[in-house]
Amino acid sequence: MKHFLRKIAIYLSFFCFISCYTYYNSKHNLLWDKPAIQFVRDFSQNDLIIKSEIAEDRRTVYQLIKRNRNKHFKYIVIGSSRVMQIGKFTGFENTLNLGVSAANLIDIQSIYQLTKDFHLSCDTIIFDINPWTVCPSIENRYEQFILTKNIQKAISDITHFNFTFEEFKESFIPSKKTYFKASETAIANPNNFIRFSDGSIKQKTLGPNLKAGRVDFFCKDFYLLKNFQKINESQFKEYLNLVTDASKNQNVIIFIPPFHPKFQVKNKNDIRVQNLTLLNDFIHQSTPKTARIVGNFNPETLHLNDSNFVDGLHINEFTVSQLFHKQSFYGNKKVN
Amino acid sequence: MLFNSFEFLIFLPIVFLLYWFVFNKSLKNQNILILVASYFFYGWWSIPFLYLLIGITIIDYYLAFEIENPVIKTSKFWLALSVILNLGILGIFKYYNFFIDQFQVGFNQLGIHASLPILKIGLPIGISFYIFHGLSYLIDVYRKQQTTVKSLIDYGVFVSFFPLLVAGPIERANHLLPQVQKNRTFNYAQAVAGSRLILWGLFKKVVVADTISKVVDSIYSNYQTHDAYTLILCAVLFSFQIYGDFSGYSDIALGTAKLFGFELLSNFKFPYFSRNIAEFWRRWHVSLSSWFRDYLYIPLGGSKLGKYISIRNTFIIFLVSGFWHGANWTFIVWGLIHALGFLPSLLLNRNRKFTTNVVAQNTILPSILELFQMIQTFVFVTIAWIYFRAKDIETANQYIKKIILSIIEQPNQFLGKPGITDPNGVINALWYVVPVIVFDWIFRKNERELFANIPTQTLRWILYFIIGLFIAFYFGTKSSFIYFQF
Repeated sequence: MKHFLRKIAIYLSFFCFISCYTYYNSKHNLLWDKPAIQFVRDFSQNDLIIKSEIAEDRRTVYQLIKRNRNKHFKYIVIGSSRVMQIGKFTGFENTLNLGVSAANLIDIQSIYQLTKDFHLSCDTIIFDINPWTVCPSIENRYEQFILTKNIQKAISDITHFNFTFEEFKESFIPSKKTYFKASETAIANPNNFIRFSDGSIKQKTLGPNLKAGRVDFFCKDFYLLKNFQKINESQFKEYLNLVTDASKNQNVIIFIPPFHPKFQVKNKNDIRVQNLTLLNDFIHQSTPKTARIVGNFNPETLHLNDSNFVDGLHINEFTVSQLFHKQSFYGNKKVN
Repeated sequence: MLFNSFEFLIFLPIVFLLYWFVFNKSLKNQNILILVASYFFYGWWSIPFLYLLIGITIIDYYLAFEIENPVIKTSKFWLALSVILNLGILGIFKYYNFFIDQFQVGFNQLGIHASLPILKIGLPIGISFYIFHGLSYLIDVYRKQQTTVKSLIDYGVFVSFFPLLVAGPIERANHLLPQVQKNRTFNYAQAVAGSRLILWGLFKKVVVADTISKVVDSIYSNYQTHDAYTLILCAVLFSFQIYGDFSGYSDIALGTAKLFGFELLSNFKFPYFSRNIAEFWRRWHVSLSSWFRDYLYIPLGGSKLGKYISIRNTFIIFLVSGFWHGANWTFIVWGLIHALGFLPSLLLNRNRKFTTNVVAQNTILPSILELFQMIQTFVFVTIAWIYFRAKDIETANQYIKKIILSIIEQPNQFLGKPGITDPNGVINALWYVVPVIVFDWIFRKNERELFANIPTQTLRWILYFIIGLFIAFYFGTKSSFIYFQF
């Protein structure tokens, strides 16, 4: 029996070792989130041209917060991909951008809490607000944050780790880097997607056909606005509580990112587009006086047209800069 | 619980260690542990159906004592009652909706519009297998080939032993019960052979069958859009998918049983190396075909009452065997095709021809004749599998028609095609078949002692690691076994 068990143990330990080694080196690794740590280290040191990101962006943000623990910034930005351009390229110095794609209320709350847990401070904190902040989300990527604290979920993630040949191969032969140090010329090149050292990004300019296709798709699909049949009051209240809490220690700006004009026009009779106006009004009526508001969901109000947009959902860097530094459409206050 | 799941990876070592280190003091303790583990294994999937399993076990256990009655008439009565009861339960869960559906169609054709109630409950996993276990015991008791088991726990282990509980092999009372009632000691050689079977079974299931199934499912779901070339290769792939799936399961079952000191009946003996259909059925799902032979074919008169009765009986067991697989006409047609394939051997008295030896018994490679015979049998079996796999007969007919018409219309379509493009992944999937054919060929002389004829220990261990690595790569995708539904 002992002989048999010894042989089985030797055999199985080989696979345990291989699995652990592969897991350790994989993007699934939660306990030692190597890809995210490495990615954060690399872009914190240099602005990078990104071909494709190697780490999930919530994990990246988690590591970014950890790396900057106890530091003070002029601006901290929390929100969705629609605030990710706020940073040094758009005229915000000494900023830490903690935007994550499709951020919903739980994401915003989690990131805000993490900044407190790791003692990050700032003069001004910028939050965005979107329809999906105040309606049932169609995406729940916030679980990535929960994983950092929820052992049971973490274990479940490990057991569902798909030990594929590709993962195995990559654990021994590091995959080709998908990002490179960006020179000033590279940053200026509209074809490059840039991740700056402050966490912010510069979007790649799409070709006219591709851009038109994406705008049309969004107009039809509604993407994260799918569930925006009504404003969830309790979620809105939670959001306001967060703003109130944040404004105790720093200035707060609420950014309302606009949607593409075509989306508004094409769907003007859709309840979800009508709700955007309602939400705009709600924000203005309910935001604490201490917080400032920039932007508007309606691009017409901001005098924006197709050239101000990267796609249906995102304005370009120039427009971000314009909105924050040159004009203020509510309250006539400039940020800088 | 599936054999190819993380749960089973944890469950098996725990039960194994408890069995040999904690409960090893007495046979009774070991049997209690096996029974509890088996119920846990089954209950992991469904608690209500676990109650059904326990209920049937208890009823059959007590019915056996009545069947043992020396008065033949009484004994016969109790046997008839128990057969009706067991087949009735099987019929309700497995065939009720099918028959209701057929009646409905029949009534509609007569212009009678009746709305008959449909049963809205799932099929208990493995019900066909454990009902047949129980029936074999009851019939053997009636035939005085088996004495009644005094211990309900021993009988429970016989019916519910977890390696064979959900997909066989279908055990016989006179084969398994003596093992349940006998002291078992750890046997190193047996455990090693068991581990090898588990390893090879997992490879066939996780690496081969599951990979192939993705290609086959995608092609079958829109077969109308594919050319003959793809459809033919898909049919071949399905032959290996079902083989990898079911024989893989059986190997894991046999291997797991060996770890606990049990020897189960062989279920697969390299069926695709068969030289005719009769030999195929002595090598494919052996425990089912031998069950039908002993409990249906022989009681009907077998082959001893003349050619006509023999042919009639052959058709009966193939049709029943097809129907056993599921409540669908496709399975019945599949059985019918095999009966027709069996017929020439029967008429020419060649059905007992290849009973004692395997192909290329004393040579490394088969002769040209043997190769031709094997290919011929494989082609026949593959055509029959089209009916087995298709969702209905119309689909199967159209599938075959599409192949034939496509060949007639474009006879040159096969020229130069392989290797150029493989949009459906069929060529890629065929690569997974190669190791199965190669290793099965090497192992073909003894299905219970896999890897034993690999010449050196070093080579064996290298193979274990390579196979294990492949299993690990493919293990993450959990998929059920085809035969669970039967």
